[in-house]
Amino acid sequence: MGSQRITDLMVQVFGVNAKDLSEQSSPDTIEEWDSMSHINLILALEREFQVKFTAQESVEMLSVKLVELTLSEKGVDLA
Amino acid sequence: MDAETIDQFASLSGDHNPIHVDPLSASGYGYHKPVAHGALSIALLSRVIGMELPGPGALWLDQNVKWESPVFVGDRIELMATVSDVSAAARVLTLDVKASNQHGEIVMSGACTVQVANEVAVPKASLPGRKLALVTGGTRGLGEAIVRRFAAAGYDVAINGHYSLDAARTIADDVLGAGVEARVYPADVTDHGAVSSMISAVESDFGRLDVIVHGATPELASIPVVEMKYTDIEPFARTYLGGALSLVGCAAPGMRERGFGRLIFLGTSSLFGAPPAGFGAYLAAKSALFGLVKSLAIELAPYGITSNMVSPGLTTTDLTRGTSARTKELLARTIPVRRMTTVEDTANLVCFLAGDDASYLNGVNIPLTGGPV
Amino acid sequence: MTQSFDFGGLEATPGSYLAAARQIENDPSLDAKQINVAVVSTYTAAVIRPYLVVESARRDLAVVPTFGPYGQLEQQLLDPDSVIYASNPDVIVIATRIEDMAEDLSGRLATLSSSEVDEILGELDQRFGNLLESARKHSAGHILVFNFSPPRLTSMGLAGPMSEHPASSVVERANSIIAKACKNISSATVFEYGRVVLETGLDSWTDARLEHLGRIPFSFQAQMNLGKALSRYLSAIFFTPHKCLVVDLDNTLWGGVIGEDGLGGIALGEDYPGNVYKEFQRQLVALKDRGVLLAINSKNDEPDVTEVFERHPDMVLGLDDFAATRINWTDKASNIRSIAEELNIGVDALAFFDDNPVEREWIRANAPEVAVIEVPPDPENYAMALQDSEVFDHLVVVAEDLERAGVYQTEKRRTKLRATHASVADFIRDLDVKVTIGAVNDETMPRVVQLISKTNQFNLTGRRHTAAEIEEIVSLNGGIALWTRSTDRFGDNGLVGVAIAIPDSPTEWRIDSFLMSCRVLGRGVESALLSSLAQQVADKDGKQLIGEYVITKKNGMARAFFEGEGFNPRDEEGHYWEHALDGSSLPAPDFVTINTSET
Repeated sequence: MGSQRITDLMVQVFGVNAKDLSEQSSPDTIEEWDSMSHINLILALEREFQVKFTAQESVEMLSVKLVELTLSEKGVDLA
Repeated sequence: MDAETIDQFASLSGDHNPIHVDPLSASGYGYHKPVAHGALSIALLSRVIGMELPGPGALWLDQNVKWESPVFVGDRIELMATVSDVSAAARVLTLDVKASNQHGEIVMSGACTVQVANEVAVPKASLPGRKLALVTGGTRGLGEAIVRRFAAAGYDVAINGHYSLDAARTIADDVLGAGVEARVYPADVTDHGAVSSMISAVESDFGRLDVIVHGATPELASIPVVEMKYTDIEPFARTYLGGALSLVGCAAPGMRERGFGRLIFLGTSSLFGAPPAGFGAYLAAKSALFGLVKSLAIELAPYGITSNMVSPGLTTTDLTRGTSARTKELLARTIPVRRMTTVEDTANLVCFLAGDDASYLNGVNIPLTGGPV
Repeated sequence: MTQSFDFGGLEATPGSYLAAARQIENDPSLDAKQINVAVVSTYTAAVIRPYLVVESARRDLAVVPTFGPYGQLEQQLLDPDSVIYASNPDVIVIATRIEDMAEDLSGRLATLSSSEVDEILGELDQRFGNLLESARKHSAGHILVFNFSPPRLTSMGLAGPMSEHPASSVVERANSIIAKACKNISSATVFEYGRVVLETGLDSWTDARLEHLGRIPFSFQAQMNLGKALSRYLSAIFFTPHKCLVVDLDNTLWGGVIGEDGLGGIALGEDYPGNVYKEFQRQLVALKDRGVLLAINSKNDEPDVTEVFERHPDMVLGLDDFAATRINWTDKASNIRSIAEELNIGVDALAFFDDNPVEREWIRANAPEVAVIEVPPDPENYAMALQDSEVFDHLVVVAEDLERAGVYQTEKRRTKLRATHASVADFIRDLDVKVTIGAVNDETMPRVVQLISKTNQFNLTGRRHTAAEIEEIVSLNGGIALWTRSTDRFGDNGLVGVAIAIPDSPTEWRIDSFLMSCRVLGRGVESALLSSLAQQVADKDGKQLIGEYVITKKNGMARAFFEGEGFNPRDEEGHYWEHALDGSSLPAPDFVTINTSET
C-alpha cells in the first residue's frame, strides 16, 4: 500500500489489520467500512493531514486509492 | 422375400407363426408356400420413406394399407410410393403406396403421411489453414490492438490505414516476428475504388479473406446538437456506412463462395443508455451503422457470413488530457468491475466473434462496459 | 489494581478515540463500574459512542451504550418492548435539538406571532412531559435530558434581539420547560448541552457537511467535548462528590511565602499578579456557598498566617470560612487525615489543592484516597483547573431521589491505592534529588547575599552579611562560604542554601550562617549542605564543629535542626551545639546526589 500514514489511520478507525488493507480496499471489501465509520474516516483524515473536505469530496472518497488521490490533489505529501 | 429374410424377421419380431416358416403348415392353411409376414412389406415402405421419399429427416406419421394378396417366400416385391398431397405449412406429405410382385399382382396398397423435419444445419466451419483478418484503422489505438490480438491467435493480418502508415509498417514488422503474415494496405475507406482495389489485392495476396473488422473513424469533435448540420454527419456516415458498404460489397462474393465470413463493426457503448452530450453526429452515424449490421446479418448469414457489432465503453485513452487521476478513479469506481475498458478487452471480444465458437452470434451489438450496460 | 488502558497516550484525534474505545469495550477495567446507557435522539447520536466510552472509562465507568434508531423518540420511549428498555438502562439520555423538536421556533421565528410561539412552546412542554413520564413508567434508570443551544442559523438576522420574541429568549423559555419537566419526574436531570456548545463555540461546534451527509449535527471537536461532558454527568450520578477542599496558602491563596515575604511582600490585590490570587479566593468563596467545606493545610507559623487573614486588606476569605485548619510543620498527609477526622468525613471525601508538586506527590503516596487536583504552573489557570477537576460535581437531586427510587446506592469512588512508600527515605529517594555545592564567588555572590537577606524561617543565626563581609570572612579569616543548588524530579529549584563557617581557633570552627529556602526542606538538602561543610572544615584540619542557633521572630522551626543532625548541646538554651569531626560522622544522606562545583 502506498501511504503508511493512511494505513495506520485506517487501522485505528476501522479496527482492521494492516495486512487486510490494499489500494483497492473499499466499503465493498471491508466490512467495518460502513457509513458511520466512513464519517469517522473523513474526520480522522482531516485531523491527521490538516485538510478540509467538501461534502462532495467526502462522499466520493470510497476507496483507499481515492483517498490517496484526493489528498494528493490537496497537495498533501503522503510519503 | 427369401426364406432367410423371413426367418430373420421371425426372430426379430418373435412371430414364429408356422405359416411364415413351415411349408407344411403353410400348405395346411391352403398356401402352396410359406407366406411372408405382412410387416415385411411395411418394412419396405419404411425404407422408401426413410431413405428415398422424402428421405432423411422424415417423420412417418401414419399409414393405412391393405394386403391384397399374400406374399410367398421367394417372391420379388416392388414398392412404389407417389406423393399425392403436400401441405407446405405443416411440412407434411401424403404418399400413395402400391406394392406388386413379379407377376404384376398388387400385394399391398394404401396411403401414408410423412412429416418432413427441418433440416438441422451443421455449422459451417471455417476453411482449413491460417485465416486472414483485414482490420481497417488498424494503424493505431484500438485497431492496432485488434491486429496484434489476431496475430497472437494465429491469423494472418492485413492492416489498413489511411494515415500513420509508418506506424502500420512497424506493427506489421512486429507481427511478422510472431510468425504470421502481415501486410499493410493503405486505402481511404470512403473511396470505393480504393477499397475495391484493396480487397482484390488482399484476396490475391492471401487467397482468402475470412474476417473484416471495420473500426476506422474520423477524428471526434464535440458540437452542440442545436448547431449541428447534416454536413456534420457526413464524414462519419461516409467512413462508417460508406466504408462498410464498400468493404462488404467487395468482399462478400468471395466469402460467400468460400462459405465463410465474419464481419465485425466497431460501435460505442453510448448506443446504450445515456450518451454524453455533443456527439450527435458521431452517434447518428454509429447508430445507422448498427442498422446496417442487422441488415447484413439477415441477408448474408445464409451464406455463412455473420455480422456483428462490438460497443466498448469509455477507455482511459478516450478521456481528455486534463482529467485528473482522481476523476479517472471515480469513473472506474462507477463500473462494477471497477476499471475502465481497455483496448485489449475490445480486441479479445472481436477475436472471439471471428472464431468458430461464435458462429451462432449474428446481428447483435455487444456492449463491452464492465457492467450491465 | 491498574487501569487497563493508558489514558496518557490518548491523542485528541478520532482515530485515537476509536481505537481506545475498541480496546476498552473489549476489555473493560475490573475496577470500573458498569452502567448501561441508552440514548434516544433526533439525530445520529451514535457517532459520540467512542468519546462517551473512553471518557467514561477515564472516570471509572464502563459504559455499555445502546443507541435507539434515529428520529424515534416516542416509538422508543412509549413502547415498553423497545430496544431502549430492553437494554436495561441505568441511564436514559434524551438528546434533541430545537431545530428538530420545534422547527418553526428556529427556522421561521420571524413569521410567528407571540401566541403562536406560546402554542409551540406549550406543545413542547406536553411532548417532553409525555416522554419523561413514559420513560419513568418503564424504567428506573436516571434520565438525562439535553437542553437546547441557540441554533446556528438565525431566521431573524441582526434584528433578532429587538424583535417581539428574540431567538435567545425563546430558547431560554424552551430550556425552562425542559428543566420543569425534569423536576416533575424523579431522578431526571437536565444535561446542559447548550453550555457545552457555548464553551466549545458555536462555529467550532457546527459541521454543515456532517449534518447533511449523516444527520450528525456536530464536528469532531463537538463530539469529543460532548463525550467528555456526558461522562462527567454520569460520574456525578454514580459517584459521591467530594465534600471538602483542602488548600495550601503560600502561592495558592496569595503569591509568595508569607513567612519570607511578610505582609507587604505577598502578592494579593487589584493589580497583577495579586489579582490572580484574589480571583481564586473568590472562586473558593463560591465553592463554599455551594456547600463545599474549605480547610487549610499549610506549612507555616500560625501567627504569620493569622496576620494575613486579619490584617491584609485584599483577603477575600476569612479564617472562619475554613471548617478546619492545620498550620504547622507536620507532614501534610498526617494533617489531612486529621482534618478528615475533625470534620467527621471520610478521607476520600477530601480534595487537595497545593501549588507544590512535591506536596501533591506526597499526598498521592501517603493519603491516596484524597483527590489530588492537578494544579497548573500558572496561577491564572487555578480557577479553571479547580472547575475542570470535577471533584465537586454533583446533581442536586441525587441523594434523596435515588433513595426514593429505591434502586441505587451512591458509591464511593473506588480507591486508587498506589504502592505506599515504606519510609520517608523511599519517598525522597523517588524524588531523585540532586544537589550542587560550591564555594561562594563573584558570580554567585549576589544571589547568596539576596538569599541571606530574604530567608527568615530556616535561618539558624539570622545574620545579614553583606558581600564585603562574606569576602572578608573568606579571605581574611580563612573561613568557608558555600552555596547550594538543588534539582529534583519536578524541576530546578535554583540556588536555595548558604552555609558559612569561621575558624574560632585552628581546630574549632563555628557555623556563622546556615540557611535554606523552605521550599526544599525535608528532602535531605540541608543535611547534604551540612555534611559538605563539615567535610571542608575537616579538610582544613578542623576537629570540632560548633553549631549556633540564634533565636529570631521567624526561625522557630529551625530550633531542632542541629539535634536532628546528631550534634550535642553545649548549653541548656540550645544556643550552641557541637560535633566532633573524625571522618566517619556527618555523612551525607545517601538519597541525595552531591556534585561539587568547580567554580
